[in-house]
Amino acid sequence: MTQQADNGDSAVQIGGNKTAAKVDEYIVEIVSDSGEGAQKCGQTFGNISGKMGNGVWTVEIIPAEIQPPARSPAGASGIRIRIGSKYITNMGNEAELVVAFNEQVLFSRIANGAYKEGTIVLLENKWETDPDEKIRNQYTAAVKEFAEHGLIVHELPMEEACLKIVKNARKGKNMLVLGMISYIFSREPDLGRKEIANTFAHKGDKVIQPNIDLFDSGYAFAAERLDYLWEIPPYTTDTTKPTIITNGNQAVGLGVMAAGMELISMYPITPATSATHYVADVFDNVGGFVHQAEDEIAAMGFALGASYAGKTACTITSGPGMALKTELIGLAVMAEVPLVIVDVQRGGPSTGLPTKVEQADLLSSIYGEPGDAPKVVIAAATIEECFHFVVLARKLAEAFRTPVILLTDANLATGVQPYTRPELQEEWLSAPVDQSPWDNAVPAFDWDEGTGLSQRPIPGQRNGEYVLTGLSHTDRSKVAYDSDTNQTSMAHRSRKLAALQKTLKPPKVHGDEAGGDLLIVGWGSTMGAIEESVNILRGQGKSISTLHLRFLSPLEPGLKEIFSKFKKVMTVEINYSDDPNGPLITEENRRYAQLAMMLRAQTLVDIDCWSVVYGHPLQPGMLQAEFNQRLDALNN
Amino acid sequence: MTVVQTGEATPAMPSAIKDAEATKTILHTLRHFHLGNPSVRGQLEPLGDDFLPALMAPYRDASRLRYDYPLFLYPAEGGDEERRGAELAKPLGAFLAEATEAVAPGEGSARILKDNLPRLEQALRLALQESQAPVPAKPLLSELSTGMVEQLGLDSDSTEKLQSDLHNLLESIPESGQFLAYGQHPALHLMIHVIRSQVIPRHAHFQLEIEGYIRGLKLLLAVERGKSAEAKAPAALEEAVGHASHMFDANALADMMDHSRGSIGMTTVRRERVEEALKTLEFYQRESILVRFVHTDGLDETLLGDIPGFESVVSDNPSIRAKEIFDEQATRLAKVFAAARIAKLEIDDLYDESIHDPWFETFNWEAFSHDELLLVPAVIALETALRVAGEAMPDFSRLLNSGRPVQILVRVLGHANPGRDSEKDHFAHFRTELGYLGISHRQAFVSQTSAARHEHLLDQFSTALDATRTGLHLINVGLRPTGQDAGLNGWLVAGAALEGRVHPFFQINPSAGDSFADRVDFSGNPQPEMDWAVHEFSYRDENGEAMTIEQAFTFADYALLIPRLHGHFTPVPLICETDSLLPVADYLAMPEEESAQHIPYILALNSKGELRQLAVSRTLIQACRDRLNFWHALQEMAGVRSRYLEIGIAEAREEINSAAEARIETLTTEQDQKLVEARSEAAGEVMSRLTEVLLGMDFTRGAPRMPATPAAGTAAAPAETQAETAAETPAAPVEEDDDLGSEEPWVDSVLCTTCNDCLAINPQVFVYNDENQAYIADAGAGTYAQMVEAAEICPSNCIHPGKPLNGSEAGLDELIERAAQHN
Amino acid sequence: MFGLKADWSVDVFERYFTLGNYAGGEARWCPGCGDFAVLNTVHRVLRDAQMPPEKSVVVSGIGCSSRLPHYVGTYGLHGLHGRALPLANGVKARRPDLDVWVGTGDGDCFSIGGGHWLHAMRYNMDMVILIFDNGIYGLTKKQTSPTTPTGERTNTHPEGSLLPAMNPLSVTLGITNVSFVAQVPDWNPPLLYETIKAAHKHRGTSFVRIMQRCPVFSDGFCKPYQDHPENMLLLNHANGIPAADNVKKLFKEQIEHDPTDWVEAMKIARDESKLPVGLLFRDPDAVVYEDFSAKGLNKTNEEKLAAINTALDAFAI
Repeated sequence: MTQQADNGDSAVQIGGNKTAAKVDEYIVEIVSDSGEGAQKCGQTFGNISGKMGNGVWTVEIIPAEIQPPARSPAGASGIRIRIGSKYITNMGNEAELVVAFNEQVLFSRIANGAYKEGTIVLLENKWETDPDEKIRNQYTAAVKEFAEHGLIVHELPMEEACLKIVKNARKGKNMLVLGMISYIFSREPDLGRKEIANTFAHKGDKVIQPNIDLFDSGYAFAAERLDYLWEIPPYTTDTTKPTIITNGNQAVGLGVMAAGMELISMYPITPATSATHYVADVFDNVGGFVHQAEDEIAAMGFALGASYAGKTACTITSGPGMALKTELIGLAVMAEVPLVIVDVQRGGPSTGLPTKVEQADLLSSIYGEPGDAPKVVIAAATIEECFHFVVLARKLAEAFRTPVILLTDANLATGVQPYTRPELQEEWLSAPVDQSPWDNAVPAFDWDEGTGLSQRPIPGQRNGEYVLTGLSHTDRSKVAYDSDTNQTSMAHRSRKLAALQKTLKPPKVHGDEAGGDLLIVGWGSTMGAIEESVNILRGQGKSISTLHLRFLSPLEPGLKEIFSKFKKVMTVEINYSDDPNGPLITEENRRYAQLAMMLRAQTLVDIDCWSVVYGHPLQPGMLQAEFNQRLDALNN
Repeated sequence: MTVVQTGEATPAMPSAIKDAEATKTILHTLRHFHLGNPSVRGQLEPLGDDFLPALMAPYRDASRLRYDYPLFLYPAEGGDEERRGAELAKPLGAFLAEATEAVAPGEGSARILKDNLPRLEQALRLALQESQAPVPAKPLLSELSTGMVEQLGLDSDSTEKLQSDLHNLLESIPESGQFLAYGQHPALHLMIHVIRSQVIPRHAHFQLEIEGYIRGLKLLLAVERGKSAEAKAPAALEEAVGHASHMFDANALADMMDHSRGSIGMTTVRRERVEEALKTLEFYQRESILVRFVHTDGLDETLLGDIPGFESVVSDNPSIRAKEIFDEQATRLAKVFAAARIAKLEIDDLYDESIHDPWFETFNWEAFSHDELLLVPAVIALETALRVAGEAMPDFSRLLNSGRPVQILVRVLGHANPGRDSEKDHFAHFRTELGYLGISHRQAFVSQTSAARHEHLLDQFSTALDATRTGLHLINVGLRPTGQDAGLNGWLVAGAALEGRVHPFFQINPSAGDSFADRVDFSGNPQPEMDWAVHEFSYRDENGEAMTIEQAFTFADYALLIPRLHGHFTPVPLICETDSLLPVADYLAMPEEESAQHIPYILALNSKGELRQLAVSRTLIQACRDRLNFWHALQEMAGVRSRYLEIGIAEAREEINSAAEARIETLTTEQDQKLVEARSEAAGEVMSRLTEVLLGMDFTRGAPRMPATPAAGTAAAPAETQAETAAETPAAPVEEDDDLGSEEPWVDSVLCTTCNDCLAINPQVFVYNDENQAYIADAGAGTYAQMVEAAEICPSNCIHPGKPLNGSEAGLDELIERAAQHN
Repeated sequence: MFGLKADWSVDVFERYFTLGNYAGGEARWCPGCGDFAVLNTVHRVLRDAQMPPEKSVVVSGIGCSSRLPHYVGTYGLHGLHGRALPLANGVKARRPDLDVWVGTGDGDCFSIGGGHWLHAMRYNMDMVILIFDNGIYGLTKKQTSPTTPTGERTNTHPEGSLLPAMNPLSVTLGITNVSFVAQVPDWNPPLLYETIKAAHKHRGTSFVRIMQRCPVFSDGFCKPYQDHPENMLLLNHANGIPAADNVKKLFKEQIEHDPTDWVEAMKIARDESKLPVGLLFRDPDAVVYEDFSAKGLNKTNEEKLAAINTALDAFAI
């Protein structure tokens, strides 16, 4: 069924509920050709909602190309905003309302299963009267087809409304739409205006005012034409705590500063670069510097050089960049140079899916270098952890004199979520470069027998002179090819990981500490989706629990014991693994998901896995379905 | 001096019929007047009070003089401390002209303004006539310019143009710029200005320096905290890992962290020293008072004005008080400077307790560095000539010898004698020259200058402050002579004092060196090599003939400016016709017995433009002689005209001729001597010479390393090499070189590339010098075979085996053959 | 007073360094290798500059030349093949107080490190780059390098190398913001010393190509110039590399060349009939990258925390 809005002046109310209906969560999408600002609109809506005390998760819908042809399914660019009266940790399942600037872009979303029967579509209707007949036909055809999909389509003269305020609707529609959805979801209009003022602050009133006007008219537009009105009450855990709302890359950037790192050495790569974009804006204020190197290798070398000279530096990259940095990471391990490497994972191998999410750099991060190169690898599970784990990474790097790889991914990088504002600590900042004299009785690698740990001399420390080298070396860093030296120095470097592991507590099981039927093990950005689905199933009385790992090298302690308490243990990951029922696949040749592979090796537990590489974040719905099957299989 | 002559009719001698008879009696009377016989007074023509020395007559009308004052003082704030002279102050006229040109460059622009600048200047002079202390420039200028605009009453367009130009001009004038008129204490104000201009930026730098030290010390302490046990305690580590701490067993983490060795921690003593220094530096407040001025009172607000960072201290003994004040300030700052030095040493990790502890224990102002001394707020003592020549002399003298960088200002009057018995006449005794008194304090900075020459004055002050010694400044202000209508202004009188050797300029700066030649600066005196400054003077004589004569400006001429000395002059009646009258300068130049028959006079001009001879009293002539004597002393000190030199030169001339031949002889003998020595030394020097010779050759070719000889006779280009050799070492005859060189094994060390190969063959023979380049330490310590092997292996072919030392060694013939191409 | 005014207490203190202070492990290069000359010269320049050993960092890549750090008693960073320059730039980035040297070779710098070479010259950070150019891969035993003369037989081109040799001088001169380019043979210690000394004095990246003898694998590389000095062209100038008369005498061919004249420098570099020796180009005013990268070193923790808090405010709800 479709409802035809008349484009005339007399406002005819359409929709269902006149008075605000309370719901505890809602998923909205705004889809347009790229360059129409749908994403800015969505981010702003997310901020407003966050400020109103809702749980929020926004995720961008990014086209493959920068400027795809207009009105093409492939060009779908936009954003999904999931808001709720609870802490939202993932993008959820299907959207319930979508605003579309043209009908074509909706096709790719429908293909992605982004919508369901009854999803409301607010559709720009100017195409219906487009001079180009082809377009007119496409439009009418599409509207019909949408109806067949069970979408509720409202055709609205948004363009027309815009043109009343700005000449170029293409540049203004997003704010009009912001006004519309702000009305529909009973957002404080003032908050909206404030947000707009913030967003365009650097562009001045010339830009701010018209956008506010657009917002207001959008608000009125919806009020007079639409009859949809929802209210999502704030979720109040602890309102006393100050809150911030960022995406994962901004969190990483903030973390770099909070950790007192003064140098980011990078080379542009999606989806990591936006972290540097953010820092570059504010780094001066903390006396930091962004070095854009000539290539990924140089970026790593530059960071390594700076770290060797005393200031632990940071490099931020993605899979292909990691591959290029491999040799130098090996040097950092061999020469025990503290260093923080952030890998914002994307789809691979090779150039893969540059803008999309994947968790496939786990093994290459841990085992990627030729030779044995033990190093610390940790993964952030939330946007908040993207911040805090950078602080942790720097500290570990220096304390354990080793490179630390922090894994995040495109989902965290682009996801936006409110979280408790970190209370900065001076202790987080790196200590000033130690230039006091060095006791020359103490070698440059004074490996502690028990832990393999040692303190490093820093250039400028008198009597500490040594030559850092990637060649096998003695504790005085003298090149030595003899077998004993190599054996013992390798042992010491490896022992540091064992030492670190000894300082860790066993991970907490989310669910039945005591054990049960199914234990889901995850890592990285999937935590939200996994826990949400597990909670739902547990709500249905199912015996399912989950455990989420942050430390991957070394692995957190006590895993084997925890696993032994469950009938079945499986990992959920966003990387490729063979479907056990796929052609030719047998127990012998099945390739497991990466964490599963490691856990099986480490614990000798027969751990199963479920992993997909659709390029989008996991949806609780999919997981529920999968888990239900597994549980049924277990119980009969 | 930038004085514009205000045009006047040429002076003329009134015509009169000469009377030979009358002349006799007149001369008699004049002689008695000259000798000071009071009884003749009645017979003298009274001296009108409108006479001026002939040379100064043109400047009679002060109001039409454009002289240096008022000065524009550039702001003391900002700028760097190197500013001197013209960068500190500019004469009003020049300042206005330049400022206008700066905002409106070129003929065409701001025409109206430029044409009327003189008007503006005039207005300023008038407005500032009575002012004593510096006056803010901008407000006054803007007030007067508005006045001028109204006064001009131009049409609206022109007015607008003028106003906008004036506006730009005002805008361009630095905010806290000031005007200083030639009041009673111009020198004092200039001194304060110089000090502030130097000290303010210095303190700004010092502040930055201190901030740097504070940062550095904090870092040191932070590093220490990092090494401390607390930093590795579980609690601290929990903080450090932050939000992730819930994943850690803090105690386990602490156990792991407890390994760090290597970086050496501070001793408690050192940490306390660092903390102490840090405290002192953090507490240090930038100086609020930069200049303290001690005087015996009588100087109120109107004279001093309101100067930021300035404190006026009244004391009945400025010399003593000034010293005390300096010591108070110095002791206070000693702590700060010590802290700063300790900070620097600690930051560079150069503090050595054995050396520095005692040093800082006794650290006081005497140990201050030049820069530190310059940071001590300045102290100026104002003393009167009478005091320092009288009751205050001991304290004054003690201060001068104390070495403390205190500046003493003394204002002296040109004609007065500070040392006289108060009831007696100024010329009753020889004059006490305070400058001389100052010089007798060998380590003090002494300068005699005048407010009338502001650039000289500023320069003296800057140098004095930079010398960081006690400074004595004898300033002639030349106050306007009172009780006379001839409106000569003080500035001009002071100028006359300089011109007339009444108050010569000089500077003794002990920091400049040890001998007077280095210490004395004699600049600023007109025609320093002469007794008196001489100028051309044109007038018309009795017969209306235009005459131009060389006219000296003597102390007597100056004296005419001082009314109370008019008793020493009497006009020579016009009818008097004689050649027994002499200009003072010529009179003084004569031996006394000759001059006795003459009567000295000066040329003077009255307000009617009449030129008259004024006979001069003997007392005044004595005074002239006294001043001249001091002048000669100064000349000698400055080496401008030294008797010693004159005598020396005469003797030298005498000698030269006689000496010439003798000298030629000795030279030739010396020459022979040298040649003999050269021969004997040749052996010793041969190595180094060879190096030169060889470097002079293309050794990369297979060519011989030695000048070709029948012995080592390799064919290649012997001629060429010989030529070069000769060119290279004329002193060392060729045949010696090769004998020695080809025998001895040697290494051409500068060419050695330190490859270790020869040392590997025999480390006793081949050794590295201080440049790590090989030489032969002991040829005997190895075999000739080794020598040849080394020569062959040497990658830069710089080893030359020479001939075998031990004839009995086996296989010599073959070795010598191999060696040949390396010799 | 009495001469006590001077800060004698600090003077007493100056540390004095001898060549020994700069000696590292015992150099292990083949007999007759030109590297020895460079090594000793580096020691001497450091000694004459009285550089505190803990303040210098010698960075290198991989190759014979890149053993340099091990033989210098300062801090050292023996990196990866081709990566010396990024590492060195990183060292300097936040530690402008350190005195940075880079030892690299024709393979390390011009081949595998080629990309970094271009950019390091452009960053123009204050450091000395010593290129030990022997026209061959030595450590890996005689493979063709970018500067191997055409037709030279190597293990990778037994019939003789195929391409014309690269001209490092003209390439380097062509890079924007280049500030110091010199060339010198290792077998002339006095000139080598003056050149490296000048390079060390220069503020900016000093590119010193050293013609280095490798008697084992590329004896022919330097011979033409050793045996025929007339094939070298000495560049004289008041602002160039000072050479004593007896040193000058070694060069049959000499010209006056003003190192500020880039166009002339490029001409000289491109004319491969003669090997230019001396300073081709120097621009003391070229932009130096650490002037940017080392900004804000003095920020205190208070300032940092304040700034980060303001950054957080922007995201506050």
